[in-house]
Amino acid sequence: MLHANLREIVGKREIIEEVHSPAILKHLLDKLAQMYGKDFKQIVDQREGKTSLEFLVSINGQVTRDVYTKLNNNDVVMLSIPVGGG
Amino acid sequence: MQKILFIDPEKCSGCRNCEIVCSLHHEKVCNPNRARIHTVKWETSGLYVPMVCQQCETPLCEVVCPMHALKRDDKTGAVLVDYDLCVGCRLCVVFCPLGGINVDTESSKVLKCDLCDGNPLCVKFCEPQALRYLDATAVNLKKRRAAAEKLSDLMKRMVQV
Amino acid sequence: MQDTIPHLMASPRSAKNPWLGKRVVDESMVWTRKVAYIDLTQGTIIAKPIPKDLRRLYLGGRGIDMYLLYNHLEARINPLSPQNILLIGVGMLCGIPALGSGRCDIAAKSPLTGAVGDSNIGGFFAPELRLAGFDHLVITGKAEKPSYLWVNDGQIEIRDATHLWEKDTFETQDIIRDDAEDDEVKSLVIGIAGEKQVRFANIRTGMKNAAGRTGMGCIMGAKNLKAIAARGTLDIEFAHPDELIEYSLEMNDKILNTRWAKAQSRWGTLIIYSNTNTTGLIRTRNFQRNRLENGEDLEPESMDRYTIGMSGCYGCSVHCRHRYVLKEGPYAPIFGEGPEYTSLGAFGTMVDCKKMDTILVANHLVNKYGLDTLETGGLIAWAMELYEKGIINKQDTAGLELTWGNEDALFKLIKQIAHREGFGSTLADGFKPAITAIGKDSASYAIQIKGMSNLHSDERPTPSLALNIATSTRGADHLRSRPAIDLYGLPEELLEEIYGVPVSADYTSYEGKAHMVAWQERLYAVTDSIGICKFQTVFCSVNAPKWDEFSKLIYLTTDLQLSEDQLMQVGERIYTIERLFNLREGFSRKDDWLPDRYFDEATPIGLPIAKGKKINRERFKKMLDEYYLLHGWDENGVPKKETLEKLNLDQEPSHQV
Repeated sequence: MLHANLREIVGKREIIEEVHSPAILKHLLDKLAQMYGKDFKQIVDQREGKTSLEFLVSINGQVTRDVYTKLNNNDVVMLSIPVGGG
Repeated sequence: MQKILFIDPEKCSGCRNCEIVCSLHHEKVCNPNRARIHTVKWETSGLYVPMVCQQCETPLCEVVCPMHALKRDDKTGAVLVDYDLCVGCRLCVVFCPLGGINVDTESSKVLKCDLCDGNPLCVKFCEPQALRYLDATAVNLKKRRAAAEKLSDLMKRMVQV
Repeated sequence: MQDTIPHLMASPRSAKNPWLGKRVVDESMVWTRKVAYIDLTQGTIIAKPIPKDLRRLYLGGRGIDMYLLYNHLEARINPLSPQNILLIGVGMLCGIPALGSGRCDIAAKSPLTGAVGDSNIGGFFAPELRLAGFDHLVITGKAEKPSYLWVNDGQIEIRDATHLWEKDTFETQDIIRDDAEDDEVKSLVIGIAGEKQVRFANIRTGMKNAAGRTGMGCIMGAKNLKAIAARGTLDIEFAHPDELIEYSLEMNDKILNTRWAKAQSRWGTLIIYSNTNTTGLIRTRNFQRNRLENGEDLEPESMDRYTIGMSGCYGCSVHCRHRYVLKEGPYAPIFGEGPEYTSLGAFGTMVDCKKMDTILVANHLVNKYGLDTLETGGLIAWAMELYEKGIINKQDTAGLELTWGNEDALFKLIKQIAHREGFGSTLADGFKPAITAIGKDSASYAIQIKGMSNLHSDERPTPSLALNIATSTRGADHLRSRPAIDLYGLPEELLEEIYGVPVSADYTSYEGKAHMVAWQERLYAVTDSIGICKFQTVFCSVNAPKWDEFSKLIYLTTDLQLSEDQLMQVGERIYTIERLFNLREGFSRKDDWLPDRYFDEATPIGLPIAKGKKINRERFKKMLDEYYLLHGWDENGVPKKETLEKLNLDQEPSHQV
């Protein structure tokens, strides 16, 4: 699931990506950064080696900053920005 | 290179930051009535147009001033009021075709944009970039035409609603 | 202090403009702005200065409004009676070129809940009132015939508004401007809903801004007050203007560099929907489901079809609302502003309408009639569920088919509510009377707290947000204490840095969440009192301004030195005086509770984290105990004596002004 300007870059709100197992979040983010570049490259904070606080990355709704989190079949990864209020 | 204060009304969000910071800087108070820039709004059709002195090439204000109190600053290109000469007759206010000069509600003297000595604060506070400070050469005839077209589009839209 | 010193005090600039001089400001304008007491029955108007001590304790805006409300309102009066008082309050920082500083706070005893009535409105009214010489208005009594207030440069006049009666909220503002022959007049107005005393009628200014919640427009209607118009040319003086310009620029840059501000600048609050709907944190079909399936058209990008640009409130660089044009359909052409995420829920997810067109029309209608978008949608969604369950039928609704997604019925019912016609008249008094009128099992379907509808958010997966709506002083409410950043899974070190205590980063946890809510209460109380936009504080982003920035801004504008701790105490004081008000009106611990469905029905869908979730009664009870303890309130939620002493509240009501 892609939100905000990430959605604009790709032009779609949902993409299905296959990553080879055993998969981790990093594989997916690296692949997307390679495919789409731009803001996708900033999702991982290179200094910290974690996802940037400027983005909201969740797996099945669980927010994660750890790029080594395992991905399983049918996991929903949401790439968004932190906006709340509702 | 001389720069000009370029207005793009389509980008204006109507927040009035330009007016606030203009009066804060020049009069040291917040009072949009005493600002040198003013956002004219047609609220019910969503049209906002910032109006400010365009430092005309042939400034009518300078031409009509009986005291020769208006002079162009060579450095910035701004037409400035020499308040030692100004007698407050307000002919400049009457003749300005853009409404670019206004009367101070407190001192009754005329107020006009001085481009903040070449560093216009309204531009710095304009997030949507409806106000930009650009090189004169960048704002050539073509750009003016594009801007004029946008304006007339906006006008048409206003009529439609 | 207002003196201009001609020719003498030459600042670099005034060498050229000698008569403009540099204003000698030993104190700022905040101290010169007055409170006016307007008795509409007697027609008397008295202006008084606001004591400096009171400013130190309550700042302005909501803070001073709450002080005035507690001090001037007789206990347990009928909110629709002339004894109720309507308070208009300008925020302390009003006029600075940053943070959306044009916010105005409006308060009274709520006709919807009977508790604190309070609503905050953006737009351009507050700065105009301050330019006209007043920071606070205290309006009592009832005018004999439709009237409006005209506030202009230190003068207040009660004027005839017979010609404005029955005009919609847009027309009313236009006519007042035309009458004054001045385009710069700003007005707070009510529409037909306020005139008909619909208990959740709002007060409006401009095309979009609304003091939406708790029915403040109903109070204006009950007082025969159609509008409050202001036009001012008096200087707003700040203590340190040059430093203020510099610091404002710094604040603006800081905010605009964040991704959330960029997204809001582009899509407004609608952007929130993408996250909450994907996860399953919103209510659809009243409270039956927690995600809208096939709701793609409500995604923020749909607004690209209608928008002609964005629009901002006074002093705000974020400009989070669309200026939109709807060209087709039976209600076209419409020019409007918004819609907010709230309207998207009220007329979209909650009633199962899935087209952006529907939202835009409904948004326009409630704005025109002057109805609170949230309460209206909340009540209609409830009625639709009652219709589905057979608790009400077509006879009760006078022929309206209240089926899910029926946009025609939605539009008709909005109109009926505003005019108190047909089934609309049953809903026009809000949840409590409507539950009594409909009877049967209707109460158990009502998603309301203290008589006020909840936002279309589903708090079952998020205990912190659940505690927030249960305890808010004005009823189910996301703007009193919502710890929205809890949803971001921030690092626990960072959370501890902000909240000062360990807090779980897991939003489904109960650990430390009472702290979060109490902290946000203080922050928002101060935010509403200095009169800036909540979005530009720690609501959406941890990096947004909070205590230290507030402290500096207060110093630069007023010269008043308040430390971060002192400001937190101001927030606590304001929240506690609201609590005292509610206790005096008969509210108690039992009112700080969620509807049973939060505890009994689990969320049916959503991503794994949000699915199958409900609030645990025992843990929630413990969290509520913890929350009271943090405030220094006893187990019944009554502030202890020492708490009141600590907060300078032991002598209230003190009638300082």
